[in-house]
Amino acid sequence: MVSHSSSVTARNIRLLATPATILVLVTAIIPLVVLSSTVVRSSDVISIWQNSAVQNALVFSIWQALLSTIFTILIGLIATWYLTRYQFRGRQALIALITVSFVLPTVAVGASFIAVLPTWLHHSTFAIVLAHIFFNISIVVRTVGPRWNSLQEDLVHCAHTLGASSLQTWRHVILPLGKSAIYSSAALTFFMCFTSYGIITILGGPGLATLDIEIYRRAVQLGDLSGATVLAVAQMLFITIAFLIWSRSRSVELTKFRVVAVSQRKLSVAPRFFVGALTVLFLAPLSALSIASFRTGRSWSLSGWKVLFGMQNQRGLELDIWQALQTSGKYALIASCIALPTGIAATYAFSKNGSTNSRWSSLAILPLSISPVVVGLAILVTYDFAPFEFRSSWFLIPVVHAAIAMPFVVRAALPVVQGIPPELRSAAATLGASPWRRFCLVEIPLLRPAITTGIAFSMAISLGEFGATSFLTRRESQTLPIIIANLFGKAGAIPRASGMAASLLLVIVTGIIVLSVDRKPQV
Amino acid sequence: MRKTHATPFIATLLIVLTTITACTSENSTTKELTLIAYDSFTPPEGAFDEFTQETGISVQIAVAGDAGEMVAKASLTTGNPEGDVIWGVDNTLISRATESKIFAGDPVEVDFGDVCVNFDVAALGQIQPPMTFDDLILPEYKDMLVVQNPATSSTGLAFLLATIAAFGDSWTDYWKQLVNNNVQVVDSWDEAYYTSFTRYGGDRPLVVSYSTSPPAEVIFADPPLPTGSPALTGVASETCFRQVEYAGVLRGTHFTKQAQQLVDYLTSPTFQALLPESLFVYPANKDVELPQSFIDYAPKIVNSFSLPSEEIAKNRQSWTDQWSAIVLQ
Repeated sequence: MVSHSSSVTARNIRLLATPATILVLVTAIIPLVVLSSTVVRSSDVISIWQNSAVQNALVFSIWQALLSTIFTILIGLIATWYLTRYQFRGRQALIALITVSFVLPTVAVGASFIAVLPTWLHHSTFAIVLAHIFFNISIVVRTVGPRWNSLQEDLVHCAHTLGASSLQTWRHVILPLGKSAIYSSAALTFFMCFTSYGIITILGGPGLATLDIEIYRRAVQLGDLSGATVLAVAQMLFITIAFLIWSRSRSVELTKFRVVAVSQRKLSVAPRFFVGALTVLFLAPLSALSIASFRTGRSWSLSGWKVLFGMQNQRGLELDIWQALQTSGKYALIASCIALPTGIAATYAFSKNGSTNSRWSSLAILPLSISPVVVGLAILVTYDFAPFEFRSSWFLIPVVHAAIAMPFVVRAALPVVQGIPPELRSAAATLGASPWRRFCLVEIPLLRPAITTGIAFSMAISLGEFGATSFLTRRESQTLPIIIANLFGKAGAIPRASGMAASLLLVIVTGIIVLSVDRKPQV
Repeated sequence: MRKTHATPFIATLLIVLTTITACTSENSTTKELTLIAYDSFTPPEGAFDEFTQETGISVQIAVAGDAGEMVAKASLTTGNPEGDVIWGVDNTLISRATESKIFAGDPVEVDFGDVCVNFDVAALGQIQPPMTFDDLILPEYKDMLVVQNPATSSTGLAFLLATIAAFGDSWTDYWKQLVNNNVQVVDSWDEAYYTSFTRYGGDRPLVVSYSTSPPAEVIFADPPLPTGSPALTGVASETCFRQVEYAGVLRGTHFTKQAQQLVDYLTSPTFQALLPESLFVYPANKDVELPQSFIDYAPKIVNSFSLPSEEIAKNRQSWTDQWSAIVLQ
């Protein structure tokens, strides 16, 4: 009896990671190396860290990321517990809301938080942490959720039978079983908060800056490209290494997917209150956005929407929203067509016998860990000679989007690929199917949850992407986030209302795509 | 067993690579020029039609980021630019641009505007609006002014530069007095104007904005204002900093002659007349007549402050640091 479950050798499996590696090399590593060799002065490598603004930015980055991560994990775990183990009205809707919130554009969410929060909270660490919870709670729910979902009810009952209190059951049974998922979601949350740019800019007070913001300032406003590149490379190394160390290598961790009937337990009073508060957290900013889109100055009006869709002429504002939607849609489709096969292939590359060495797949996070400004500048300086002269090519934008979305495709695919029983592959092989046929007829149907989630996330991330997109030169029409930023930059009641309307449109379109494609979230 | 796991991913790879190379083989002939500008450069439809009719060359606008980002990119690609002509290098950035030698020849001035303190007419009510810097530190304007952080906002930087130009070395004392008068600081123009300004629900009737914001308020009012209505906002005309924008042919372009024709067009009356109501700036060409909205509602700024571009570039960092030390405590 053949002992290995697949017919391919280790060498061939590793080959599957090539597209992903090429994507990361092309969009991140090569440009960064070229940029560093072009602009960095060796003296800056040490001296930049002596700058007090840089030190403050570094300290603040770590501090707010830690704080945000702790609270996101705390609240996320409680939310995950209620969402996975209890049944209540609106459960599916809340999960959907949480999922969509992760991919919402910062530009829109920042504006809505300002609209919702009272003025005295506008510039505060509290606002920043709250916004980070809003964005990142989905990481916890969608990572820990599936793990707790397949938690056998019997284990909990056993513990109770043996005399454990609820707290002890938590400590000794439930938490340990979710430990690796909790660690990995904590790592990703810390990373997303550390590299947070838009939220800090909008909700942080003047003078509060993360490392990303400081990099931007150095590169763009002060013209100190050398210092900015040093900081960006350092940040990338720090994050990637931290991520590698933090994501534990899992040797035998089978998360076989079984559909577990959700417990029919109802929520008692205190949990109900918690769920209610969570719903308010998610609905309030979106409602504020909607309201603001119907208000011009002090009165209610449809003009914001009408001008946006070209139904009302407005001197001084020529918007082609349909063109923008088309462009955004085109980029989103291309980005997901690149990110999906690349990401899934990479997941396969590091899966063997149902387990995954997730350390290497965490390297997919690399493009995300570099400040978009530096990525943009690096690409500019690298791809400027024939035949690689694609620095001004429109195609570059969806490629960069794909590089940004790929780690999320990998994250979605990991548990699914792990959960495919190796016996199925062997059985198909025994029945005479070639590897390609096996893949098409057996594995792709089983991969469907990963495929749908991967497509949904890639498209949503591409739709809402602002940082890198705004920096890469565009020759054709704007994307939707760029139009939003332009509208917010104009004085006057109508551009303001139209900007809010466009933000809401972006949220709705993103939501529709995510919800219609990702129909059965495994929570 | 055949090892065909390679096939699908090689196929994907080939598709991706082919598409990339296919798309990069777009070539530009002398029939098209690329004009590099910032994100908010939105001239009306057909702005370049007359140029195309006269010369047979079409103009493609390539935008990337705001003015600062645009100049950073142009500096980095000097000699091998992304386009043929660049629009919108302002006076705080021009010295960096010329230092990096991005221009072939000299840049020309294409538009100008002022950054001044705007006031909300209705919110001030009976109080006389401020006109000068000295007014802003008077007790009757306490708790009224919101400014932007010069480290993060070009509007804020312009206001800071105006105070430096006005007061010379004692600008730090002036700012200490502003702080005593409880000036509010926010990070962006957007936040100052739409969150703190009383016109949009805030509590500060004085905001640092542009001299063209009052006509913008009128043009974008909803429901539209009847002609002859009084202005909604006004400008403290002695608190202004002049912002000038330049355009020029980029060094390294393959079509220098045609690019120069485009630059000439950008300063021609036809194109310049489109500027006020689309970009909300004043045209540099003095022969152009301003639109009615500007004549009625845009204030005439006679004395605005300015500083030499090299001085700005040299001292920007230290001025901003000093400002932070005084104001952001």
